[in-house]
Amino acid sequence: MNKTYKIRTVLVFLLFCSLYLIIGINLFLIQIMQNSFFKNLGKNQYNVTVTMQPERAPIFDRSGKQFLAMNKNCFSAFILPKQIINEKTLLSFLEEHFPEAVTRLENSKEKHFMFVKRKLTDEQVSIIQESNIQDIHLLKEPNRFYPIESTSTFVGITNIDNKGLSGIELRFNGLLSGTPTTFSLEKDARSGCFHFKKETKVAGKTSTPVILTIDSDLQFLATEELTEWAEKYNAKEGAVLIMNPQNGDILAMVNYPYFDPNEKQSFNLNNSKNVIVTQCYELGSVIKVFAALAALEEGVTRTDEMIDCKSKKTAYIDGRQINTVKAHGLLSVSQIIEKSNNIGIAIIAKRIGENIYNHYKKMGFGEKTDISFPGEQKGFINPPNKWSKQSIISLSYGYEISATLLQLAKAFCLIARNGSHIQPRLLLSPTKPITREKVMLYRPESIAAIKQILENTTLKGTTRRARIKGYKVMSKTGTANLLVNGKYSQDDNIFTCAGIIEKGNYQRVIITFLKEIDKKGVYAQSVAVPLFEKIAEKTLINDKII
Amino acid sequence: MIHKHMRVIKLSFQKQKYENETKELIKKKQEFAQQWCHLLKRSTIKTFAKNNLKMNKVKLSQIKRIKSDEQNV
Repeated sequence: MNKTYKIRTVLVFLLFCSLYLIIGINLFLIQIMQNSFFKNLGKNQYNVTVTMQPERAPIFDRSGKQFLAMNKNCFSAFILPKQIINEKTLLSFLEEHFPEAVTRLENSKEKHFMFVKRKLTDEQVSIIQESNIQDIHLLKEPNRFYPIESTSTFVGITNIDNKGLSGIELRFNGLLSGTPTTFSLEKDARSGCFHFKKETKVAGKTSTPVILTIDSDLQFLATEELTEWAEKYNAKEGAVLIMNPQNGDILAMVNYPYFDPNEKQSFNLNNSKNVIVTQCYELGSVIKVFAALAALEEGVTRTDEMIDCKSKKTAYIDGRQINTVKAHGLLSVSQIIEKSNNIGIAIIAKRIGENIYNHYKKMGFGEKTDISFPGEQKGFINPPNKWSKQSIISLSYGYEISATLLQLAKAFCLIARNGSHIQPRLLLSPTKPITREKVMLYRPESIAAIKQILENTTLKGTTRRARIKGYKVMSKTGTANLLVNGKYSQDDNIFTCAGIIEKGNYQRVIITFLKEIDKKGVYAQSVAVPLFEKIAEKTLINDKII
Repeated sequence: MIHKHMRVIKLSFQKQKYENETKELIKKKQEFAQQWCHLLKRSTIKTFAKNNLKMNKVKLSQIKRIKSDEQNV
């Protein structure tokens, strides 16, 4: 009995010893051998690293209140291919509503995650919600919403990941999106919603809103008018630009056609172009104003000098043929611009010679305006070393010189500002410092003379339909032939009207433009001028200049 | 010391609660701003003015500025 007791005691003792040994070995393994592994495991349970991307900042119009681009959450649908519960129902639903997702699903069966479709429409969301399919999950994602569709050609759009693709969205992508901040959090073990400690590991930058100089009311009014006129004439392209010459602010910039940025499927190369900034044209007779200004500045002519315009529609200067719309005999310099006579302006330009190139450069043609817009064109002026005998003649009435409508507006601002240069701007905030020293590029006498000529053009010349009672309107038209397969086509034209409206201290520069209309044998005075008058009227009403 | 530490944690939790509330409110504000933008859509206003209020386009010649003395009369 005693012996059995002893054996049992030894056995129990040995059992306990082996148990302690096992515990000891385990402790050794956990505490010493696998120390770092378990330490990390514990840390990972408490410490989390979170990267937070700031919300994309909005884009405002000049009031700072009207959104031109804002955030709007949308839903994306996804499935977890490895955890599909009811494959049959899922496939039949996908085949019916998202057929392209079916083939993707077949190729992604081994994956953990697959988007069915990103950025769903409201209809698609309700279809998914009503179907009650367990395998399709919805995810909220940031998206952009653009309240004013006609701004799409300069505000631009973002891609599916909310990164700028075009326009201001692209140019200021860094500013609008900011940079992500990485935090290290010590989590609350129970809820997971709160943390004890928060440390910033990588400090990011908050996103900054962009404020444009655009007046959204004026933009809407101009869009309405331009669309009406472009549709009336079935124009391929059209544009309206309204600028304040006193500070260079672009108040409205409408391009036709434009796409709806909220319906990205409507985006294509034709309707996404910003005709005003990224397209150069030989603008035709509207350039005569600047040839005349150059001549007046050079002192080679006076407004009342009488010039023989040969009384013909076709004349020859230095053996070169010049065509003009109407035959005129003796005309004063002022009348040459008023009646837009090509022969008269060519005779004047010959007196300026190669200097005309420097004048055009000085007026801002052939140089980018630097308005911080992607894809801005600088245009072209044929330099004197590449001139033919025809060049000086062509340059006088707007050929061999291609310019953007923005450059044209800038040059008209120079006239409106009595000879001082102004930098056009589309961005109100954040701004880069602009040195606004007033450098007079032209003598006040030359500017006064050209202003008078432009006013006469509106009162009794080609832009008579732009007259507005009680306001000073100084304008000029241009009808130019387009180059088609290396030849100037008589049937494919561009129609421009550029001008200044003035009342007291109030001034606005307006450009209207239509390209390739259905009606043939017409001139800018019956196409672009009435549009100019409508836009000018709307601008005056909007600005309450009564 | 323990009391102080607990108080710090409590206040920190409260702060986080308010931060979450702020986030929610910002989201709501955005949603309202979107609705506001939809309501302020100029084309919708124009259609309403045309169809419901029978309003027409205004010409500059139809507008007259009333001087202050005329207003008083």
